[in-house]
Amino acid sequence: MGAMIVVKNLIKIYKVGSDKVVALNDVTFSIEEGEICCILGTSGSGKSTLLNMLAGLEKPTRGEILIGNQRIEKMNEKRITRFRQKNVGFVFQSYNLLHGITALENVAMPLIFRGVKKKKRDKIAFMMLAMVGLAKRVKHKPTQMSGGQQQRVGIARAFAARPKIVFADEPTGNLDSRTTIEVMELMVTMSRKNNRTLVLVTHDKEIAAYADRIIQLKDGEIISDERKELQFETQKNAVI
Amino acid sequence: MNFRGRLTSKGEIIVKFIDIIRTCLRNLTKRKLRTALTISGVLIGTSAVIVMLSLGTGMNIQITKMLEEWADLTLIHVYNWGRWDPDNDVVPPDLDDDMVKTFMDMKNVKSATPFYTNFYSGMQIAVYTADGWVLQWTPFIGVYMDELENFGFKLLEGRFKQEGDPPTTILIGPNTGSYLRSYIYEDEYAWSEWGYDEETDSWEIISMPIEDFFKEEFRIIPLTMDNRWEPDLSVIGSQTAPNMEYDEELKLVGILEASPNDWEAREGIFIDISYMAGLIKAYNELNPDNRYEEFDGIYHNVRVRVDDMNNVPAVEAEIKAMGFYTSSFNEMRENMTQQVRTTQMLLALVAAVSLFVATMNITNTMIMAIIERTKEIGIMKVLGCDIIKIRTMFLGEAALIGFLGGVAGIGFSYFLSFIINNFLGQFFMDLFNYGTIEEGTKVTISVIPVWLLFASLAGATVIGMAAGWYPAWRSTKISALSAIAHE
Repeated sequence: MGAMIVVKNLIKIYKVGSDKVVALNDVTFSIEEGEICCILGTSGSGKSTLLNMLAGLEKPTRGEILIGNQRIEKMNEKRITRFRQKNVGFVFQSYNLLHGITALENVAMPLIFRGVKKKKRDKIAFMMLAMVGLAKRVKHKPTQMSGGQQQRVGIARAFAARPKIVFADEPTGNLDSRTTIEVMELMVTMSRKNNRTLVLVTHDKEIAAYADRIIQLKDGEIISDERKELQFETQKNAVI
Repeated sequence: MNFRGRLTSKGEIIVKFIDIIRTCLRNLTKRKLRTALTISGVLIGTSAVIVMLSLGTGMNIQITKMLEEWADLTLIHVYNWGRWDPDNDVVPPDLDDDMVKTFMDMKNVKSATPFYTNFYSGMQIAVYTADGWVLQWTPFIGVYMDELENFGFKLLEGRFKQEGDPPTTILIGPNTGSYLRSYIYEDEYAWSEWGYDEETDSWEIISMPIEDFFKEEFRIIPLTMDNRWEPDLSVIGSQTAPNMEYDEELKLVGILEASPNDWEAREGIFIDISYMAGLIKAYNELNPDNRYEEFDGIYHNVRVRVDDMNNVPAVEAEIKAMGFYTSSFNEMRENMTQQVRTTQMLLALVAAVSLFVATMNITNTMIMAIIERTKEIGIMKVLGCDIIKIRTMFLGEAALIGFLGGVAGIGFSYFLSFIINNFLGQFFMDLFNYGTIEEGTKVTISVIPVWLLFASLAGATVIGMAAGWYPAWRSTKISALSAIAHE
């Protein structure tokens, strides 16, 4: 098992007027393939900035980000988009589903970008939706669904294109506690089943408990990095 | 583990194209009213331009048709007056048989013949029948008889002159001999009878004093003139008159078809020009005090027949360059077409303004669409949609608006064209400053040529894309990160 994500001496400084705000200050870590990793931190800790940079949505001020041995911070927009298309899935706090189209079409969308034919991608999308328990709601539009259902569509979409890594940014931030458990279990199960690397960003310690490993950020620096080796192994075995 | 993005295959491109069209249609149908209004703008612009251009096309066809009715558009008159004009730079060569041959050999020239008629000269030559009638007011026309067919004359009856026919061979027009005067009883006349023909909506001769020309014996005689310039008909038939040595029988072989406007061919008698030259000599001998200019091998007027009216300008210019004076209806046609073209361009310009407004309307619609869909664009970008695809999607939408507007515009143009042709004919004739439509005549003023259909479809699509260029470019500049935060 090799390192999927390697972050070296990552620094991000925002300029606000003439002031400089240090969002990330010399962060170094790596995440293994198949690992479920949580980046935990309060608001302003730099966790969202870190996630954006891992996903290639923002460029670091200094430092390196290697994903599968590729320096993504050096890629131009066209290449990084192509890279995301092939290798990355997203789950957002506010779901970010397109409202005009059905659940099926939403899940199929990443496959459109990869040039998969309609028949095939509809089939994949349906299977993904069935997997998250929404087989009967494929023709529904997001506006006709509850928050939990919408997030399950979001999860189906994130895994549809078989990405190597799934990033989840406060995926349960808008959900009640019962639905939160459902969604978290679903996400973790999906990751384990398909041996996907899952990077979870949250401020909630209960959520963090689902992860194999918790990297805690504060003021742009890593203050703790805990691995739950035992739990990781047993859980993995249990699923298999 | 392979992290590299695969190269796009041909199959993928096709899938993408279909998906783009599908997405465009879906997005357009999502905002039905706005799409319909934007398309209407293009519709109005396109149909305005099409109709304005169609008017010009129709008017030009109309002009050509009208000129063809009262003028011969492939005919060039050549005169040898150029040699007497001191301002003429080039002194023309002799307008003789060799020159006519030169004309005949020119490119796009079908035929050429000298043309001489006694009608303008006052020279009196009488053609008469054995049973007592003179053909009054009949132009006597000297031409190359062998060239009549090449020159474009058509036969109503009989045949053209052939080899072996005597020099006195003649062809006549359909109305030749419609007015006869007796040379036996002075002041006795015979007219043809006219009647209204409902089918052709015109007055036509329904019976002629001579019933069958081919049974009649025609003779020719140069007359002597008295001091009142009255021809002396009494000499006809008198065996003692000096004219009698020139008295000859004519051989009629055919009757020509003639348009109502070609009075020479309609009422004249065609005879060989060399025979005509002999007649002038004979007339001069009889009328020493009223001599007429004899041919010394040089003609005053030669007519040249061109194969197509579009070749007339070139042939005419070539003949002019030799120093000859020429005339044709081509110049008139060109002036009229030029005037129509100017008016047409002005109208099209006005129409183009509406198309321009439609273009801005598309741009506006597309900018609105992009603002509305900022979040959607952001999500798509984050999920790995290529920028180029986002741009193509918006360009495609704009192009589709243009294309649909073009299609609708073409349909609407046909409707307008129908209205104009059926109800607004006179109004547009006045607008183009020419002619009055006869009561009950259908005039096709608006004609939509096929190329215009394709051009306007392509044009509308290109305009759509041009209008969508800026919004599409703007869509690619949307930051994925801020777009997903955009609520």
